[in-house]
Amino acid sequence: MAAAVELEGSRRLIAALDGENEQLKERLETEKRISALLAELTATQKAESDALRSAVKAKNETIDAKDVVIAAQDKLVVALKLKPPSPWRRLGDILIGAAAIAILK
Amino acid sequence: MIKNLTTQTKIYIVIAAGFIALIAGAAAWSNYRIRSLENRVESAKRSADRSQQAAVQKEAEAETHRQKIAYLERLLGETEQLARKQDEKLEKLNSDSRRARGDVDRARRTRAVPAGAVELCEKLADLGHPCTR
Repeated sequence: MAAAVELEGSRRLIAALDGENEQLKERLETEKRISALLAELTATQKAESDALRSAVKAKNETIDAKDVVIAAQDKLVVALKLKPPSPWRRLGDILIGAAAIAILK
Repeated sequence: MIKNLTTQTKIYIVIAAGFIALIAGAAAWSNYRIRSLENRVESAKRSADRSQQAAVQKEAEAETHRQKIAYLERLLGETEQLARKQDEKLEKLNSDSRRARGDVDRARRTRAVPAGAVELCEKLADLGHPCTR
């Protein structure tokens, strides 16, 4: 009779261990998924960090390039201020002067 | 006609021609310099535009990564919640196993008591092993 009770108990134990084993497998799969997600998350965070660093670098380059634009425009402004009048206009002025001298003579 | 001109007039013409050439040369040099400066300004503008486009592109890339991170974090949260539930279930199953093992150990330690054949057959039948005769 004790053997029968032991057999019954053993069957219950086997069923419980089977269930536990199944659950452990599922838990292992979940842990693997978590691990994969964490790895992907880390990689994405690194990629984001790299992209932000590149964006900052590009912005600094933009600022530098705009400084160069401003400097070049300043030089252009100075050159335009110093630009002599058109030769045709000067020629006109000379001709007017010559005509005035001729009239006065 | 040139032969009829006096030396003085010729000198005047030469001076005037030289003066005109000087003015034209100065104007040409000035135009060249201004064009060169304008080209430099345009080149610098193009360079600035390129850098700005690169910055915008990198920011868009960073935004995409930010969205992906948010999605992954949400997914991770859900998975961790599932893991917690599985742990709770596992704890319960573990407790069941311990209890079953305890039952088996107890049954093993139990002293064998004499039982009647009928009683034994009934018990075996309950377990799915009925007596054949």
